[in-house]
Amino acid sequence: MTPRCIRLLVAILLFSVVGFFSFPMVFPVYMERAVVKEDKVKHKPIRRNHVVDDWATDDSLTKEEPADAEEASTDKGDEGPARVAKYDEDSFHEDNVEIRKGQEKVSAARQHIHVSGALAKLRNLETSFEKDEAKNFTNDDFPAESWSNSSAIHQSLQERILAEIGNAGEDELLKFMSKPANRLDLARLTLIRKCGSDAVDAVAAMPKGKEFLAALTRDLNWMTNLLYTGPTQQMGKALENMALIYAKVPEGELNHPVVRRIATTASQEFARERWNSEDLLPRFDYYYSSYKDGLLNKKFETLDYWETRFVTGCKQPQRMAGNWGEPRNLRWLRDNVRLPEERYFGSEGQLAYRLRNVAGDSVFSEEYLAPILSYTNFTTAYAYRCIGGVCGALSHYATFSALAAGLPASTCGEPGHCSYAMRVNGEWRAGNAIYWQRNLHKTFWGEGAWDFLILTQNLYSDRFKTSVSDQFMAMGDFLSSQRMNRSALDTYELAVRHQPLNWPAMKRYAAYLRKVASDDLARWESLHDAVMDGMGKEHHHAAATMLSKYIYPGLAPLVENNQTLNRKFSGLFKHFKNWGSNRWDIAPVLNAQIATCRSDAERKVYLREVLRVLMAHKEYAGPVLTWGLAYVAAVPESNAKLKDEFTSMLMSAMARKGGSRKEMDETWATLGEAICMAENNAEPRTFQAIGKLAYMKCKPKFAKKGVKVSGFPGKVVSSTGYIKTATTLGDGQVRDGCLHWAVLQPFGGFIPGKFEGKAGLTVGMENSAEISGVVCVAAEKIEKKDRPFYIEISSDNQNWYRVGENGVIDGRFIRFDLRKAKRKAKFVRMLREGDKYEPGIAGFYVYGKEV
Amino acid sequence: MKKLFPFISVLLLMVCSPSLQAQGGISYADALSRANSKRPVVLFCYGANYDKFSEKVYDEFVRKRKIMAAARQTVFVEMPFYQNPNEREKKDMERRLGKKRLPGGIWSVPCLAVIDAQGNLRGIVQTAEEMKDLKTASAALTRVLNDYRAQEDLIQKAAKAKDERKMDLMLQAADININMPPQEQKSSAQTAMGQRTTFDPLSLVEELQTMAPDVAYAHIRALMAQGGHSRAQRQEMLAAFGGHLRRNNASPDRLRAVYTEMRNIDPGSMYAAYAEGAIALWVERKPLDKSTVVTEVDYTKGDSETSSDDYSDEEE
Repeated sequence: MTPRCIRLLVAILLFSVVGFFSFPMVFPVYMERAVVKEDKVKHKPIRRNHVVDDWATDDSLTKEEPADAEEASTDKGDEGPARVAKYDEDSFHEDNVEIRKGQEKVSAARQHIHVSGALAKLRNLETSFEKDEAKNFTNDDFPAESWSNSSAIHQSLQERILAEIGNAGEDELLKFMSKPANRLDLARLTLIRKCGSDAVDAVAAMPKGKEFLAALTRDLNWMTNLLYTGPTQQMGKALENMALIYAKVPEGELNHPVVRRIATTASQEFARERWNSEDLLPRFDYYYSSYKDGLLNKKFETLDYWETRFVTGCKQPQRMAGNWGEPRNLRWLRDNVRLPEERYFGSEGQLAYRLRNVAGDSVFSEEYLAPILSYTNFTTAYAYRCIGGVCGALSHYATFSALAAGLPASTCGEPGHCSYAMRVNGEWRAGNAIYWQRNLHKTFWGEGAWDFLILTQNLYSDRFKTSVSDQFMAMGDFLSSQRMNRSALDTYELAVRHQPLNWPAMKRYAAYLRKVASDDLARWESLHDAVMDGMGKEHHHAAATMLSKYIYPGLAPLVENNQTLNRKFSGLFKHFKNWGSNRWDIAPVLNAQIATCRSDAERKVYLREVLRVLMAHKEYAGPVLTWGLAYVAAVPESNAKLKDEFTSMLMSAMARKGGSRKEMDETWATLGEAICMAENNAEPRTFQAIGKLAYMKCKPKFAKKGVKVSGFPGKVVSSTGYIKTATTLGDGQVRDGCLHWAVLQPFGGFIPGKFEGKAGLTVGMENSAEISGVVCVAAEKIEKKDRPFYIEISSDNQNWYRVGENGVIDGRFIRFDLRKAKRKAKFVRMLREGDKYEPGIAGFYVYGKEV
Repeated sequence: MKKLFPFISVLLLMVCSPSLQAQGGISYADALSRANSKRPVVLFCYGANYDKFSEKVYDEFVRKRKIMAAARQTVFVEMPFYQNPNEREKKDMERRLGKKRLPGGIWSVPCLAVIDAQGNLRGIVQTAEEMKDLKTASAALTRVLNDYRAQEDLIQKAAKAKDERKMDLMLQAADININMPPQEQKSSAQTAMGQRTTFDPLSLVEELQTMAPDVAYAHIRALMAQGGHSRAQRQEMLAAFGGHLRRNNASPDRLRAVYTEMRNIDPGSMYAAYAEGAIALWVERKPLDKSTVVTEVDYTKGDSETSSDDYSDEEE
């Protein structure tokens, strides 16, 4: 390298260094632009809905914002009112305010608000609410133009309410609530808080948005129906949906009470269910035009808002599940299944029950309806009427026939089955139902069990009582946001005491208690008692769920004495006289109760107490044994002592059940439930113990002698095991569960048979055995021999090997000669090709030699 | 006098013609006793206290008596369906039924049901399309009544005929697109009519399952050759055969032939539409719009939304 080259390289290096550092000074604009550009990219996706302080962000960078919104946001300078954050129902937002004097502490001792006196006054409020509704209170304090800045409205409302309620004492609150103007202010404020000011401003920026907001918020009845007649999730979206409809319908049309109800409830449900807004207008239009043309059932005109939600919020079409909720389908049902309300119940009988169509395609395959869809104009109900279907199609057909006419109904899930709930003359009935385990597909609070449907009905049917309670809850929310903790707690307590069926209010009060006064035992006990005295009277399942999910976790750690707590736990079941509105699963409650025990010793005391109380109860005896057996099965093997102790406690509890003629049916049913659980847990010893107990106590229930069986070499090795069927057992079949044990005994019993793919009849033996043959005795002669039965064996209940093909069918007997196979196994199952229900099984005997 | 003449004629006609007498007040039981093979009962069922559409139809069809032209030579009975009836309404319904029960098959109101003297539902006008206005409903009712009379005529002739002639007449009667009286079907259980009544398309599907396509073809042809089956039943046989071929990967030409034959048996029927759809899907392989495909949710499978443990509590 020459010196010339070196000089050149040094010069280039120097030039580069100088250039790098001097570039920003020479070209400052380009750098800034570059930064702005980067900033734009960075900020574009930010949505401000959930951020309290984000009005400081440069709005001009968000291109999607409508012009009006931009204008509004520039109006709100640093001096403007704070943006209002959207609050959800599961949390509490506190404004940035100082805690008032006297509100800062929540006494550990019970705050004795004069509940009884206050409750009497609240009852008077119900009457005034009813009168005010008839007068339809309105005021124009916030005209259309003011809605471009909802934060300012919020601030003004907040000031007005705070001025009115003073120290938020009981009398002040009652006085406040008695004036419709105040209630309207509270409703406006609640609306803005539920939506967040950004969402309200976005609605104001929509076509006719401000006019809509003014029309809605000037009308107390409309606001009350919007806010206090059911769940209010996604309120911002609901408001947007309503604005969409408002802009589409002719001027003043939403003043019509029925049209307003259709628009409001459809908007709420589409928002809550997160359905596409594009589908909202067709749904609204269906009910709107059907109502206008007089094509709905007259009862629709008298529905309340909460009931209408079932109708206008009926399930949207789902991929591959049919277009049941689409207007074309609703229209077809409306016009072709027009019946009085009570005749919709059972209208599934218009469809043929078919697992396969005439071409042999399964109802679960795409080919089943496909060729007919074009002919039926892609109308699911019509297609199923042509071809037929199974439980899902039948239940949807009946449900949507009622919904299309404007009557509340919902489909339900049951184990492996679909049924429906329909209201006939004010009373909910279960249609096409098989099992008690019923889960509604339309729920208000995410609780699908039957009792919650009845609770919803009872809660909202008492309209003004619930409205008072809900409006006090709204006030409680406002007070909590102002950090007036004590007043908020008192207000919440008043609300739940006034309407003890108010599930969402109870849940919210419990959450607030956990937040601000988690150590206040007296309040927790008061809430516990309110649940027992209110919901607990009729709604056993709901009350037990409320306690186990939301109250025990707060209450139990505060109760020092384990005995006291156990008495409280078992007292729940003492309090219940029967199942309530429908049978329910007690296991989650018992699990929640036992979860509060801190040691095995406490668990044993708890189990003894619940067994003592529940075994004496006709309804709960079987389920508590079932739960106990499931609990024992889940105890790890390492804790064998506890497992054995629990098992012996359960067996002794069972043994105490009476065997007299009078008590026999009850004992039979109890042991039946327990033995089915032992089957599910694959526990041969428990299965055998219960079976023998049943044989001892309820001998007349068993056959005296069975059919003569010609067996195989060796002894019957299955008689000390357990047997399990693939089918879902109905209530009656569970009651007769002890006959399953008898299937393995020489005198025979009964177990329902179902063979489908890898599901059939399974026997788990006590010990492994070398199997020489299997004989199965059907309850009746096997007529159809077109599909073979076969035998599979396993040593671990996981990996199965086929050892016997083509069982020899002879009358009631199916025989498998396995002498040549010489296979050892602990589990044996019998299967059959196809998917048909088969006759029940009376005897099942595995022959061989134990190893 | 000239002006009075039409009025007097109409009055006389109404008084003299039994079919046009105001019979809305008679009970269903009385109507059945007055009915005969030539004169069936026409039952006008309507929603009495809950359905504005029924009220409109009632007003036009019955109150203004405009349906009477189509319901000539029948015993016309009004049958209100009350929603959650009160005591007075229950009594009214009892009185109108007169200790008789309505036949099954009335699936939607307002409707016009044609019922024979034995109380069997023979035909019905009840779809929205048929009941949309007086003209359409009248035409539909006339069609059903004509079918009824033609069928009754054939049944009466069959009663007097013997052997093959009798069977032939019964089959002709059964091919008319309304319901046959069940007692007629029972009485011919051992004949070709009997084959028709005992035919079960799903059993046929099962039978075919184990057969090779050619054997299945021969079986279907033999079944058809027996005669006596209705058009719909012959279409069902071909549907079963078509499905069997499809599952055995038969050629498109063979499928087309089967479905074309199925369609041509009764081109206006639902099964003809099924055959058309099958040709489009499985012969011409026209892509199916997935968004329109419907299948039953399998509630027996664990992954369905209603599996056995799904009724347990779930958080919103």
